[in-house]
Amino acid sequence: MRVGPSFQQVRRSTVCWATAWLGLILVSACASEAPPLTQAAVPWIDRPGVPLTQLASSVVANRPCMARDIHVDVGPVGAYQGHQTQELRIRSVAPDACLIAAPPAIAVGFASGRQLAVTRDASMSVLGASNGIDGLAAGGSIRVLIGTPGACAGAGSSPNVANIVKLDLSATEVVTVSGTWINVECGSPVVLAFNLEQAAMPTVPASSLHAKLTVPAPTSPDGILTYFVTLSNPLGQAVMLVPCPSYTQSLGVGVPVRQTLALNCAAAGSIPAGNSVMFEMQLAVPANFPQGMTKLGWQLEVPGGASAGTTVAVG
Amino acid sequence: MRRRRALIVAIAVAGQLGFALTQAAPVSAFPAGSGIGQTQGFDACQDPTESQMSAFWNGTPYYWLGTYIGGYEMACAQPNLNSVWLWDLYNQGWKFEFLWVGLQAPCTTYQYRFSSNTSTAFSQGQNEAINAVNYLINNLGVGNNAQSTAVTFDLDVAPSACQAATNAFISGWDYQLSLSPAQESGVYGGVCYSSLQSYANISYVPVFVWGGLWDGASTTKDLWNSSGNCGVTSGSWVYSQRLKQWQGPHNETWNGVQLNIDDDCANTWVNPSGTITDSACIS
Repeated sequence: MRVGPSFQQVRRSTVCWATAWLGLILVSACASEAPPLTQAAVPWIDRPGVPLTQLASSVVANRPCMARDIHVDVGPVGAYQGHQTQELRIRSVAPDACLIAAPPAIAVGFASGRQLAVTRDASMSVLGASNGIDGLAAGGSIRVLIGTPGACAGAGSSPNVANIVKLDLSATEVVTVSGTWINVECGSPVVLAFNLEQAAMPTVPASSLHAKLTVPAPTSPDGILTYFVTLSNPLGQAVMLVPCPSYTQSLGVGVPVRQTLALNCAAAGSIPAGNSVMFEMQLAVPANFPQGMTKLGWQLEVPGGASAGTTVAVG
Repeated sequence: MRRRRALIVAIAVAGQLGFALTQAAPVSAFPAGSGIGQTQGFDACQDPTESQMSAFWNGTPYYWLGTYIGGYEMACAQPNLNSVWLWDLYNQGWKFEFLWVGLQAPCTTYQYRFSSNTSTAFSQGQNEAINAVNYLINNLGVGNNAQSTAVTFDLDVAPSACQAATNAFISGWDYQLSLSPAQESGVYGGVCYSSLQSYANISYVPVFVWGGLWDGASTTKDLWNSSGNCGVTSGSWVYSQRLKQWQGPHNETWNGVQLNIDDDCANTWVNPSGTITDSACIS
């Protein structure tokens, strides 16, 4: 069963729309005949696509980070996992990548001049870094979370706050930042998180598109799930679908059915500024697919590409 | 002849521009309201990017995100958090549990704490509720005055030394959220360290509790720490009124994206609705 409008309907509405776009008077003559534009969809095509790998490429760095390569921003204080926390963000201001220990030696300092070493928490979160040292790309950053115990007997009566954090990149390269609020009243500070966040991948115009799924009807094992993806262009200029982006659709949890296919770009051409285009999608459901509610996901395979999903009934 | 040529051009342009063009809809308000969801979710200190969340949707057991939205004591800056992000994640299929990390208990080491005076603490709890709801409406675009939207106060540690003030504070939070247009009030904390059970007997009881108990058992039925002999008793918050954070911070990778997350299960109100039943959360 075909859920979308007939090809003829689509053609007619397209002509009307295009005529209106050109400022011709024919629009009024065909407006009453045309189906609602929102019902027309670009037909689905079964053509293999190319997935965009989401694995961040490793950063190639040939030198250690120097003090001049980084800037440390003092983030919010907070309550997290039973700790009083202070977030720091180490930003690369270097023109190239450099190597940094994960984490470097850190100490907190007090107004009295006393210093206290910050050790690693046993369950310290390390993301993006490996082998204790990794490359910080130009434009990349590292989110560091320092924590102390949130409570102990008598807590709250005499805060003992460190307002300085010192990062020793090496014996001679030291970065000091002030304005922190790290209360060691109930114990020594630890590093809870050291999360490397590489700079975002360069985007393309299609990265700006937004996606929304519409699933008109449930499906069943051994059936075809037909649904629609509406891609919206919020930009002030058209997004040309050249080169033609691929998309990945997945159905299920655990071991989902997954396909990467090409959009029907030949039919769509582009998405004008401030407009949306609806694409028909089809996905073959295996005969042994478990019945019940499950996940449907859709992802445009461009950097930061639009994604959409919903839950659907199979059975 | 000129008109015919124009029509041909129009058809040609239509072929280039698309079959079905509509005005791109502006970002809509995230729907107010909530529904009972019995599904797995996760939370992370820093709300992930849209790309990361997309990777964590496809094929994973997770249906909702514990989303830190604000408060004086929210530990991580949230560079991704805004109404467009929320709307886009909603369109990815995600549901949400909103977490507000406001003033913490007076007998703790946190910088921003509520008063030891119970009357003041009650008022401060009310103010936190007002701020949280205003944030949902004004910053995250939740529609209809966030009516019936579930929102959880994150009280990280609540020692018994200041239990009376803590009870008053949570009571104020719950009371304020019960006023029209009412929301569903929740409280998060370690099942022992935050004395969740004590809130079962306060003036205004939370609609649901979210207990941190990293025992590796996902079911929300069990919020009792047997080794510590503390937690939430089996007779409290029994009518789809529980979440459980059953695994603490760990790295998890889905579809090539790695996040540091806590694993959670819900058997209570999720935003904006919840229908799926996952036996891992209720059996």
